[in-house]
Amino acid sequence: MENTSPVSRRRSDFWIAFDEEVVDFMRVMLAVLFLVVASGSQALAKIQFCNKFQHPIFIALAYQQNGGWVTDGWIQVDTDKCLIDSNHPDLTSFYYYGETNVFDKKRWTWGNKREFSVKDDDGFTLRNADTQQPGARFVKFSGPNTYKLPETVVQLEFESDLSTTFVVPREDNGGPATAADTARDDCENKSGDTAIAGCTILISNNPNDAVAYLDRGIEYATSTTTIARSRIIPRQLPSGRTMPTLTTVEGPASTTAKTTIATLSPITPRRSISTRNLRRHLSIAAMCIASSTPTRLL
Amino acid sequence: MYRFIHAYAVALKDLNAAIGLNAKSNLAFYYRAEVYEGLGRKDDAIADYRQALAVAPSDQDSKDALKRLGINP
Repeated sequence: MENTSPVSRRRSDFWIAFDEEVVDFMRVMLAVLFLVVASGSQALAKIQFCNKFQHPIFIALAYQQNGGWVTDGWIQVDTDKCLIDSNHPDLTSFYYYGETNVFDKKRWTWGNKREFSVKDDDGFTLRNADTQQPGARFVKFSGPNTYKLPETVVQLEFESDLSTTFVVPREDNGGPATAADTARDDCENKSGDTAIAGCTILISNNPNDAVAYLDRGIEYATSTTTIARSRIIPRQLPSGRTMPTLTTVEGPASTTAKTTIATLSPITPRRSISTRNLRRHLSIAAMCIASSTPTRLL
Repeated sequence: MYRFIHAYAVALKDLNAAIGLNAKSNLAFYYRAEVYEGLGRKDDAIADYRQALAVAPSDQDSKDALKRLGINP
């Protein structure tokens, strides 16, 4: 017998309406959950730029996109500051170019490998940047800096001694060193055949590794009995660094406006510095103090 | 003797590369100067010791080396 009681019907209508609300609510929650999960699994690589140089540095990046080369800039990093660039989350390889404003008709630039077009405009983006573009200048970028970890922060540090250091966190977060790390340690901190083998690996990985050439050259030189390794070992360029070039700029000093993306915390030490490297850093500092630098004039 | 000359040759090649990549390394100039000395190339050695001093004027080892070679730094 069918229940036609008005009370029962109202209850039934209520539950139907309630069920529809619950279903709608669950749909919304599932959608939100899906979005959270999806965003969490997305590659979110970030590049942290740090500036230990005496002047603000303006940085442009060059990278491949859709089969072509793109450059964009400028990222301003003030002295003794770091900032994270979140505008290139999909990158796992890039070239970089850095420059200062003009001081006393001189400009410091970082880049010595491959030429790309850049514009002085703030926030510029150039496509087909591996060719000379109208209204752009062709400058040499350094790189490529390549990394495999998508969800991390890689660090490009411009040092006070005019060099740069690129740091990729270890995937195992403090676990056993990679082969490249071991080679670096052997090259810089060991002697004899071990050091030579380490340096040789580094040079094969990066034919422009000035430090590895220097270390290996010293090892070969001191392998003779006539040249003693009496000389203090501090080297001028810490690991993986390349020297910038100082160029003279003709004409009046220009001050191109460039924008800061964000400001972050100071640099965190990556690892303890060995005595040998400490001497090296002290040597670098002494060299910088001894060498005359142009007076800044904006 | 051959071993020394071979070591000098490969050292010279690496130090040339190091200087080519970073001409501000007084250490590279200093050691290349020592290699030149070992090869009997006194003039080249003096030039490199001087260059090491030009890069790092306080480089005492290069000053001492020049004095040893009879050159007033």
